[in-house]
Amino acid sequence: MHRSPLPILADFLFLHNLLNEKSLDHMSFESVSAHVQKKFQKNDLISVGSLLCFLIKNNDLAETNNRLVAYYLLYDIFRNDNDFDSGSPRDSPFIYFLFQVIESKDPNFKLTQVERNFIIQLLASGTKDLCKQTPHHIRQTDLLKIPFDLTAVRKMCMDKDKEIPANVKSNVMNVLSAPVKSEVTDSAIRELMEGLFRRDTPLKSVFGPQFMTIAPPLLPCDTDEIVWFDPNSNKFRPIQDNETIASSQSTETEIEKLVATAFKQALTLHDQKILENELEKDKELVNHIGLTPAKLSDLVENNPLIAIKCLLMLMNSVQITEYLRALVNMEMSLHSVEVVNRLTTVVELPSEFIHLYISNCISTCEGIQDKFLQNRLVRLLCVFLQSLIRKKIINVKELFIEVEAFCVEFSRIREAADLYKLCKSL
Amino acid sequence: MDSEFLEDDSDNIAEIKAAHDRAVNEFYKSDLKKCDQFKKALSSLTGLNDTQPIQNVEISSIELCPLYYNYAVVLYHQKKLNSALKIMNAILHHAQVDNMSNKFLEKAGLLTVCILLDTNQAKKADNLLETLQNRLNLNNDDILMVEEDVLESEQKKQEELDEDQETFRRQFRLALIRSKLNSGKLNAVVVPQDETSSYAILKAHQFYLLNDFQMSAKELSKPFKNEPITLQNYGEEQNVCVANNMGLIHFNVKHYSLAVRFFQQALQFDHKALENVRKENNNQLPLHCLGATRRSEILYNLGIALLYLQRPKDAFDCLLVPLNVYHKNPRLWLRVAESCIMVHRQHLKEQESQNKNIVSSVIGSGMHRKYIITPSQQKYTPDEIQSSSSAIPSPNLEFASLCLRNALTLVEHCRQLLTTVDEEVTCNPSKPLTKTSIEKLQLHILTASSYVALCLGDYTLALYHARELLKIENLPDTHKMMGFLYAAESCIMLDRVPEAIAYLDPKILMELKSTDFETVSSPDWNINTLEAVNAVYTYNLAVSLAIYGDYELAKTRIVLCRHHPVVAVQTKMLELYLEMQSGNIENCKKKIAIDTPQYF
Repeated sequence: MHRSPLPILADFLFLHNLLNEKSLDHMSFESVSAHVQKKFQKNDLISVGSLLCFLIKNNDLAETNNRLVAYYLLYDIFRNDNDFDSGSPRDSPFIYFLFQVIESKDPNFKLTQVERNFIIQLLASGTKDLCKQTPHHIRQTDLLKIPFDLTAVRKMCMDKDKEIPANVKSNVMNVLSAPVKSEVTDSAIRELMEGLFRRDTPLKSVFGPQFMTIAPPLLPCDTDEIVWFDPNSNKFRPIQDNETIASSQSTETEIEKLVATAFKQALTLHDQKILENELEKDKELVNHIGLTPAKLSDLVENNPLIAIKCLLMLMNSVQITEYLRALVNMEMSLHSVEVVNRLTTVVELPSEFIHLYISNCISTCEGIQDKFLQNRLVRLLCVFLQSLIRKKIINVKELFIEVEAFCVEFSRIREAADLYKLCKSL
Repeated sequence: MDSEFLEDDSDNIAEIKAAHDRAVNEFYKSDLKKCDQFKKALSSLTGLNDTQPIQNVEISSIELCPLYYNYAVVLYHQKKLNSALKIMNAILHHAQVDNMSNKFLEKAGLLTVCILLDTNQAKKADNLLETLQNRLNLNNDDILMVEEDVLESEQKKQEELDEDQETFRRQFRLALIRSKLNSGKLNAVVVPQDETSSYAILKAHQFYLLNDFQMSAKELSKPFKNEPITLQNYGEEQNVCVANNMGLIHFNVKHYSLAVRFFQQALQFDHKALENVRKENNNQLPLHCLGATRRSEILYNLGIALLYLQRPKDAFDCLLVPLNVYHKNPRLWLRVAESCIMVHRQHLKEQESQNKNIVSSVIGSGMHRKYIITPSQQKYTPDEIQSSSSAIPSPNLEFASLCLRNALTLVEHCRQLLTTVDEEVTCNPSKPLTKTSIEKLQLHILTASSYVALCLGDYTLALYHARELLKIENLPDTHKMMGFLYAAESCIMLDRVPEAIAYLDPKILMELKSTDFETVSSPDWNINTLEAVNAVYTYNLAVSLAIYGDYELAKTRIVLCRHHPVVAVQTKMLELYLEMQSGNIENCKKKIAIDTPQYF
């Protein structure tokens, strides 16, 4: 929306002077109007009209003459060039203002009967009869003999008024008469006109009820929104050479890792299977996986099945004696017994080994302080021995004394009693 | 074409591998500086082109994985993270179906984890780390070290591991801690305290997430034992991280100007580091320095801080930079709009403060003396200068309107994604959006949209947005109030005054509770009590009645709110208007006498 600037001060002063000239009295309305329209550009006529309204409303036009001319101008300067028929109501935006003037109830507002009649005639029948008249003439005669009917004009005005939104209609000119403070000076009008060029001029501003618009608050900012910088000093470098990927050598490394883990913790079933398969596939593998007699106990405790597999594969090797020795010296536990048990079922272990193992187990059992654990191990040993005897893996006669003593010592335990009976029956 | 189009032929593969090896060796010979050349070679060998974001990647043989990995590494350093992720997912797919060596899996896994962490997908990173732990048989004790004395046991293990393994374990641990912190598992992680910058920053992060800002700041202020991590040697600048994070801490305790200073410092460090690296390498940056700036994210943080510090023009300038990168982030579009709105409001305030009196000037003298009443403020003057150069965005309401439209579309899209996928939607550079945060975001966007439309004179749109806002369930009271007020004002401007009066029904006020208004922490928001809300409502109702022509009723309303400071000036003016319209000119003059005795 581009605002047009106000016409210059000089033009306004001209207008005011024109309206105050004595000779105005005898100039025809028509000629004054032409004069004004020549002086001002079409775009500026709104400002001219506003100025006239301002002067009229605030009683700044001293004489009736001035005011008559002003009313005429308000009506006439907006006429359509093609419209020479002066009978129809003009398109002036100030028609409404003229109605307000004649209907004003403001006691301070000066309006003579002549002026009222003049306006009514203007509104009702246009300028055709009045254009050639002069203010002087109007004042002398009283034209309003014929009652003029304003209903049509009023209706047209009201209809147009309805089109204007309420919030626009509620605006007024932002000016009030101030109490007289000092004497009238010659430059009073000039001061007034100059005042109308200020930023807050009533010619371009409005005053009306103003809604208070509350702007929305900022979106609250939480820790999820603002960005924390975590350390990320990863210098990823491109891979060089034939590193990695699926080669057989890498499989071995993987297996090594698997075995390494097997010494520390129980492998998952999945991993166990993998390892067993690998051992099965490659008979030499067992030699490369880092298993030593020293480490055997770890393997037995964590992954007895793997241990069994490994030992079986090593049965025919030189190292087997060492491994068996390690087994014998191992602390007795469920896993170790199971390993030995399984071994005995699959291969023929040297009998000295078995005897030694049994002896050690018996000593272990006798030496345990913890009753609960002792019971468990005794029962385990008994079951183990029974199994060996039944399968004829050992010859009881060779160990008879030891075993008998053992059973007597732990006769309170049912499995020992059973063992004793078994031995006796052979 | 994105996918691998060469035939799956072992001879071909051998050729490709050979060419790849040559390219890599050459790259290493150039000290990792001839990046463009290397990337071109990789691009032609893989058939991938990243001028557009990469969509589909198919790797025909596991033997080719290193080639793709190297391409992803280059993309990673160039910060083209989404494309890099697509490649890594293809590689990890091979890890599942084929027999991939552990050494390669370590590298590929770690890179993928870092990409996920850098794109704020911490939960996925966490899952991947767990899978890797299982697959690589990494013992928790080795990695996480539940006890405090990390160093001792580390040293013991170090003797058994080689340098590569050691580096991997260290990086793995850092990544694991990062992922736990960022996926909300704060208490599941113990950060080693060895006074190196990396762990100190992570520990500070932990404190920060537990809202212990003092301890967090303490961690960051400690002197670090390690050699400083710089762009040149590690691809990131520790000073930048520390300064940025200090800024965050101060922001959270509302020390906005300190926060701004720290963020500006972080920017300086970042800039200087880049300059140094360019100088040291004669403008040929090595691979790890390629995309190493964090300017975008720092500017995001700085922009938000400036907004809260009420410097919206500066905030706007800052936020435009990350907007260029993260243009699918609805919250960022809202923030930019918020800065435009704040510029507008500050401008209005300036105008208001120029004259709070009834009368702004006196003109003429003698019997022509006149009071000029302070005119009604113009709602918005369009930016005349900027309309010509619309290529450069400017913080005006028209641009705000554009931003809000984008924000609304994007947040709707997020809403839809939520029902189909997980409970989170990406929102880089910030953490992902949850359902609640999306809902909160949407209502802020709607409110702002209505306000901006109102200011720009698009009253139909303003009314539409206000109505959409009021439809939302469990709407907070502050937004309810604004919804009603905006709807009322729009109706007035659309010449539907009775509807406006209905929106301002005092009964609505009775349903509002004060808690919502008291807890608003936005700067420059002064409607903090129910009395203030009441005052604004009553005033606006009086305005509506005055516009409708019901001056008597308006007068009765005005009496109820005239003393509240929030509406003091406005009620003064309205009372004058009502007296003028009722013809009580003497009363008007009396009011002016009281207000500005010097003019009387």
